[in-house]
Amino acid sequence: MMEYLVLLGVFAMMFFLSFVPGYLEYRLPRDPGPLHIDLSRTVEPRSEALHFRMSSESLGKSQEWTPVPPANMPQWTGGALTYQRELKGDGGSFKVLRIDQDLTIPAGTTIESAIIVQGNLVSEQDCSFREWVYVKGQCQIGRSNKLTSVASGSDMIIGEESEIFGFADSDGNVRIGEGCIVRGLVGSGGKITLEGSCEVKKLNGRVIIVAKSGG
Amino acid sequence: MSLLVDIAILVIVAVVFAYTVRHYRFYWDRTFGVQEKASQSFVGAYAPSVSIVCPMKNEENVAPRLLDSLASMDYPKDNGRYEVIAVDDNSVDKTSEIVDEYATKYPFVKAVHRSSSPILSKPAALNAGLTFANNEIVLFFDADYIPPRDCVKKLVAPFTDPLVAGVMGRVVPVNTPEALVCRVLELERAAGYQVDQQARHNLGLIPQYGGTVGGFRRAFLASQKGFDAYHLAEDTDITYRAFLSGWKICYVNAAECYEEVVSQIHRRGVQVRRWGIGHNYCMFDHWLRTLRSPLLAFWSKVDGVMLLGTYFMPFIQLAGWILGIYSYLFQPPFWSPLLFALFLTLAYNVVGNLALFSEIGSASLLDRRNRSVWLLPLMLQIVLYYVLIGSRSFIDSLSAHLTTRRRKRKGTEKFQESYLKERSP
Repeated sequence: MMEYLVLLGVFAMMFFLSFVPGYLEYRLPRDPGPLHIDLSRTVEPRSEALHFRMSSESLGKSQEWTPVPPANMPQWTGGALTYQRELKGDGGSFKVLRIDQDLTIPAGTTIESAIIVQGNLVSEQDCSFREWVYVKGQCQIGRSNKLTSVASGSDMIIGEESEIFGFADSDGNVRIGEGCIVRGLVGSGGKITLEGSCEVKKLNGRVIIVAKSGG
Repeated sequence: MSLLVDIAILVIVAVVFAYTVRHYRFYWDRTFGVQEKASQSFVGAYAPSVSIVCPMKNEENVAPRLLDSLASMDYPKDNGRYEVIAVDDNSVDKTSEIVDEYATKYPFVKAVHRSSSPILSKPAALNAGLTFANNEIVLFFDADYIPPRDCVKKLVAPFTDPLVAGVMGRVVPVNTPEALVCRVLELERAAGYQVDQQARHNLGLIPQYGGTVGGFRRAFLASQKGFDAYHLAEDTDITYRAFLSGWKICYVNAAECYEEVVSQIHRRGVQVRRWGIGHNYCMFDHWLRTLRSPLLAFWSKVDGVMLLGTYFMPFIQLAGWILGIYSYLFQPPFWSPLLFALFLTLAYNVVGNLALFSEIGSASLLDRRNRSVWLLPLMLQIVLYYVLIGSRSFIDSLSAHLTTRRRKRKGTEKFQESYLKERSP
């Protein structure tokens, strides 16, 4: 009799266990609905980048930021006013930093966190961005940088021989330097200029200009 | 008696197994196969004249939202190429005033008022709207839907193919944070459209027109005298009429449109029961014609009949469970326990067309909803509920079909006459 009760208990436990993940997702939703449809969308190819920018902007405006303590302030911020928060992604949580002024990143810097720059961004050569970058103003990426994805609200310049693993999207004009590799879509609300030989998966802009190699 | 029960169980298992294979075929095709884009390369380049019919019955809360979306639609509106026909269907709230207000504000919006109409049904309202439609393509949107600006462009693109009679877009729930039921229904919707409809389109089978976020050529609708005003599933009925007349219907996954799903399970039950009765009427009307049709390919016939049987399946499930338990408890032959276990396993995995769980997984993957899929076990309760509701709707529809309670088809002669008059030299 006892063994039947144990079996019944194990069965009941297994049955209810199957509902635990669903309960967790219901209590702490990480896929909060609704599924995104961009109601203002007219051009489909840029929708991913546009959605990203909208999310980044609303994230920047949210109230859950805390100032970065001076002891933990990364050197590359140059003492700029910086806030931080944790976000949950597919591969676990990651840190996002919000910099509320113009930022210049020194050469050779590696940035582990995602960044939202409320002003303009300039990165010098050989910088590496391990997470996405959103810039509200102008974005000037230096030579031989490595990025995941980058979006900006104004003009964007990608320096020579830089590599972007996702998309590069801007509301203004985009210049892609010689020898660049962009594995996702380059989108622009204005014109896109390709300066010489570079490898780009897809382009979407009002005007595409292909300059001769070397100028 | 024992032999009869065993034969019945074997037949039921075979039918359930056939549906399982069908759903896994869809899952495989949508997840790993080549996707057919329904002429989406013509989006923007092809802009035929379009009439949009919106039936509204007591929709004062949502009507302005839909009419605003349609007014700001990214589509050429010159020379009457774009018209919106808002049908106020016997509303007792402010819908009538809202419709008039938009008709005054926008030259391309027409207000149609139905009052004291003899037939109070959605298809009757659609037919009333159709009589005022002047354009080549007629699209339909229910009042609680929110189409994005590019929706119409995407929906009309498949009409570049002269054999296409109708199109259907994707429906996405907008109110998912409202209740747990909405989140589970979102999974069901995702599987139904993202996987099931798209796979049927890919495989050249029978993609279904779902009653809204879609439409037809006006010429085709005129040939059918519009919709059956008495039908509870006029969308399925018109789908089969199209395929049986040699036309095609395309599913356009990229033409997404928001909808509000019900947030209470008993209201969902009422919906499913109504759809079930209507769908079963279609089964009674069209299954033999589908099998005999010289215009349909073999697999289209198979899929067509299985699609018609979608709301017959819950009854089959329930019968299988009852017979299985009876067989197991009272007259077990040597293979009954195995059969029973097999049946329960299959039954868990499929209930007709109501979103096979693997399809939900595939849809979640394609939509990048990595966590929502965790809600999948909650579908079990919904499925059990559907089995009861679906069985009841099958019994109701069968008894109505066999007695005089079901009314004969009634289209709109007026619409057909006006269309023919317009076309006559």
